Amino acid sequence: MPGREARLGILMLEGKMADVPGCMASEATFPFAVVRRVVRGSRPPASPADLEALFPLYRAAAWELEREGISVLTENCNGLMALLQRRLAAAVSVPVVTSALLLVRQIHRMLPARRIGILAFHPESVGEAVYNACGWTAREIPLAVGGVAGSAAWQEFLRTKELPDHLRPRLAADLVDVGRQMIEAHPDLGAFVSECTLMPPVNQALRNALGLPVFDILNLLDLAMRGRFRPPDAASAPAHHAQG
Amino acid sequence: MTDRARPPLGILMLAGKMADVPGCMACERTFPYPVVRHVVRGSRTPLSAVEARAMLPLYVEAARELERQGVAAITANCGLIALLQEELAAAVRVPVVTSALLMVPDLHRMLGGRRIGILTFFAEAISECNFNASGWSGEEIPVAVGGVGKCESWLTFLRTKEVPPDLRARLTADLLALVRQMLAEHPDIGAFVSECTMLPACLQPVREAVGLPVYDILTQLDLAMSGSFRPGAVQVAAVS
Repeated sequence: MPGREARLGILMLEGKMADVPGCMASEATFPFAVVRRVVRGSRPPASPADLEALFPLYRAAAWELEREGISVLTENCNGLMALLQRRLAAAVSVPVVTSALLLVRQIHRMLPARRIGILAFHPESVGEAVYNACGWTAREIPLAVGGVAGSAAWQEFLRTKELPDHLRPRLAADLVDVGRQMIEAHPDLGAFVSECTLMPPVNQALRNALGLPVFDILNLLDLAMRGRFRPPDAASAPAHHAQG
Repeated sequence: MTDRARPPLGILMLAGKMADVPGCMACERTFPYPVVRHVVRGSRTPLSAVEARAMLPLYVEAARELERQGVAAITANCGLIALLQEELAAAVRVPVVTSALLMVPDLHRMLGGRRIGILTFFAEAISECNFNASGWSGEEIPVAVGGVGKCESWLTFLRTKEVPPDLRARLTADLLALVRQMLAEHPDIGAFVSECTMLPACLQPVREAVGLPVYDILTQLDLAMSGSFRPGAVQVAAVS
């Protein structure tokens, strides 16, 4: 069967991860085969020194997955991992995706007269260093940056890694509010790039409410994987696990 | 939002016969989402960059019409229109994708700086101005360019716009031979991008045989469309 060998490799942070459709730990998130590998000893980096300590661990795990056979490699750590993009990608022969911000340059070319809104958890966690690691600069691409750190609902999701039914609409409402405020401040906003890996479970609500495209790491991973197998038509598209 | 309710892809079509082959833009089976095809009034196959550029006002008008109809993204089925990417995209507020070359810089980053193989029809027709129109430069991104245009099979497809079964086998074999030749000359190629919109009709067997990713206009369009709806994305209760 075409595409059967195409597998996404995910390097997982140690510890509890959100097993929520849309997050990388969930079986329901991807329409293709996935192999997950916990990186022993890993924890979210808070500084360049932390990143340096993480790199050999992630590289070793990446080599393991490459030996086992993967088509694309990604990870579910925090946004600082983008600073390891070049070195991690150079270490393996498959495309490596450490951040949705790797999409920004092509989205900008699709909407060259519009501004791109970046949605992060903490807005201050993104900046020129991360943009440069993703191949672009804010000097050339008009941006607005927003974050959900001020939302009690998002802090709860971050802390518990669980998404009970009662929390979902609050997460959506708060994310939409952030998006709306960014549009009010910047009426030339043309698209959002959702940089935080906790957001994909809720991003469709943002798309529906604001009528602007929202691109997240799942969109980028779908693209990356399609280099190995593109479902030729609707009838051949693998079934997703749609959630109500 | 269901698959049926999602906003469509808008395709700006050149007037005249186009290949109705799965993988080509005129074919219903090519896309897993709804499509609106809009013939650009007054258009005809451009034979040069100058002729393509002369059609910019026609394409802008047609793109704005598609935008009014509520499409999620806009593309065109003429390769030379890719030279107008910037101007055409700036004229509307929905994503415009005239070439798979838009993804090259990001792909280069995902590959840790490795070379990208560009698959075209006539290799000699692709150069720096095509790269620049897609927002990058060959001085910045290492590429290798190869074309199928010397193959009798592909010239037949170009002329007839049809793929009978015996031709398909030859098209695939010739494309695979080109890819292998490019890899022999440039072993540092990490992935391929097909700039030519006819190649997707035969790409899947090549992907499987080569074991490297091969991207094309269809994968680029799938990305653009997924910004408005990702199939399987979790639906949340209505938000006011």
